[in-house]
Amino acid sequence: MTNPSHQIAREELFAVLDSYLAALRERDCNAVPWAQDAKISENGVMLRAGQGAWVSLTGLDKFDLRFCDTSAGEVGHFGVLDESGDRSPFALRLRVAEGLVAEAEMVVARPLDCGTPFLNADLVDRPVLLETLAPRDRTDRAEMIRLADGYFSTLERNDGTIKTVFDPSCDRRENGTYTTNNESEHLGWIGGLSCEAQFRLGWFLFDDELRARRYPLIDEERGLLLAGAMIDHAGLHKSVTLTDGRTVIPVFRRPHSFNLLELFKIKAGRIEAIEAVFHTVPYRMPSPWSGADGAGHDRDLAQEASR
Amino acid sequence: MTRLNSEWNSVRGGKRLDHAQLLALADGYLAALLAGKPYDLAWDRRALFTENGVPLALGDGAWATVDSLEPYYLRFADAEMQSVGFFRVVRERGNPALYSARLTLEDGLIAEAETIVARRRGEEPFPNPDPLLLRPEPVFDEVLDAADRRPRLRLIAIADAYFSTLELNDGQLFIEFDPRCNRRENGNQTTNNPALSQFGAEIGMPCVEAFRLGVFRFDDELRDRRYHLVDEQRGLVFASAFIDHSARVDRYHLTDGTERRSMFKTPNSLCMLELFKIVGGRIRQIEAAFVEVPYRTRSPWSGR
Repeated sequence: MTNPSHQIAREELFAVLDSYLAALRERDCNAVPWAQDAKISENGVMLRAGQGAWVSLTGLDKFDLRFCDTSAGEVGHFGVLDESGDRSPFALRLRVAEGLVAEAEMVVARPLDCGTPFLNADLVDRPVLLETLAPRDRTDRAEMIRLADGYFSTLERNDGTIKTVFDPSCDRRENGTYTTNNESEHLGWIGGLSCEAQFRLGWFLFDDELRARRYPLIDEERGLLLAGAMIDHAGLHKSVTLTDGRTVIPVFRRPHSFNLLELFKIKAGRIEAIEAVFHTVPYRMPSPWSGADGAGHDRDLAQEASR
Repeated sequence: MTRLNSEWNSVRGGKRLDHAQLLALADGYLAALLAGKPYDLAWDRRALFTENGVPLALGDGAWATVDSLEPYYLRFADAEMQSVGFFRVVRERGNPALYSARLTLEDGLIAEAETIVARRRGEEPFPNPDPLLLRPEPVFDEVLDAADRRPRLRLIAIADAYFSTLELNDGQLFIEFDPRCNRRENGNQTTNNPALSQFGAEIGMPCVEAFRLGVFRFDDELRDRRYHLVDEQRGLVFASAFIDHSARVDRYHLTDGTERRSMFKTPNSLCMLELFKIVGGRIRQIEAAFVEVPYRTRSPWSGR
């Protein structure tokens, strides 16, 4: 996928994105240059072309964060869509092959059922995500994947150990809401801390598994990596003791999962910003984009029975 | 769509449980659930266990979180199909949820366990916020007079026709309702209940009236319908299905000309277990548990 001889120009990838968004705005899926057997998902479920938001959409906002991977033929977009007055942040990933859309993955955080107490559809640009990096600030692809995967490993059964590298300025925006360095009352005191400080406390111990991790898009010029994953909350913890000795009640105390697309800005080997869209799905729902690691039923019953 | 497995049961000639034993199995299942010990039960080695439409390992999901069983308990069984079903209010970490399950046995071992755990989210009225007040409808346990009974296949056809009436609901009825029919969904009575009508005018209507008006126009497809438990003596059918809401409809007109707005502005689906009481060929009572899932989530039970 990274063979330079197969590189697709940024302009070409963005042109495909433009045509896709124009078709979506008109709810005309036939205007999309679909590849044969194109794979299309919305909130972790494979759909036929024309289903899902293609039926319900009544408008697209102007907000437009876009990025692409010229060697993988991937283009991504964060935007806001309207469905009969309900406005929802969404993330979109397209894989382009020979000018055709071979994959279209969308995660839409809809206010009534995304499952987070915070959601903001009035998105404004984050300059940090738009900056083109000087060559000296770029990080090679393998290292970018290691850092993003290390972020997920830090989050998984979070015990205070940091397995990635954060820039001190790193902020995370989730479903349109900043969940770091944000003292808004509805986030609680944890929202007022920096990204790394939250993890050093072990706040996210209730995140049991960061499953079905994928890293399909790396924009080397901008230092952006788009990841896909599922987060499982088994509800195992009645309370959590933080690394500073305080005891807190975990956010998730019952089985629950999120399906997500998450964008990492990586500059000079540090995570500088995070932008994510995620949506509640049934606990341990398999990812349609992964193999065995995405499955919800990956343990051997017979083996467990023999214990 | 319809599965009748009486044939293989009789051919296999393995261990079979009678009606009372199946009901007792429901008790045993709940005791094991509370203890978090699934292997206190006897499972077929190829057993499929699902919670809210997702296959899980035994011990995962609500097996790890249920910390009390509350009084609300409705159970029913079918010795011919070797199935038992139930609804039970439980608490997980203190939070109430409605737990519904269908267990189907092969040679006396649990081969299929399909569960729905309806957990309350936010300020939604579902499940019922006062689960301790819930009481089973005694009508489900009533044994019918011979004249009011219908054969197994006919009972399944009536339940299936209910789903067909709901699908693309435009006022055409494929079934008859008993005038006393009520429907309870996730613990809330959603017919003849003016107290909850702020959540939809149809909740205050009799069961049949909402269907005649075409209130449920926004229900697109009732898919992956399955019927694994029938009790001819009591007129019960326990069904599984998904309802898809494509959100293609925003404003629409009832059959009386009134304009309504759909309660579903965005695509989603419901995964459910639904119990029908059918008396004299008419639907007398309905009890359902469902959870919202991403639009057109696949059923793990289809093709099995």
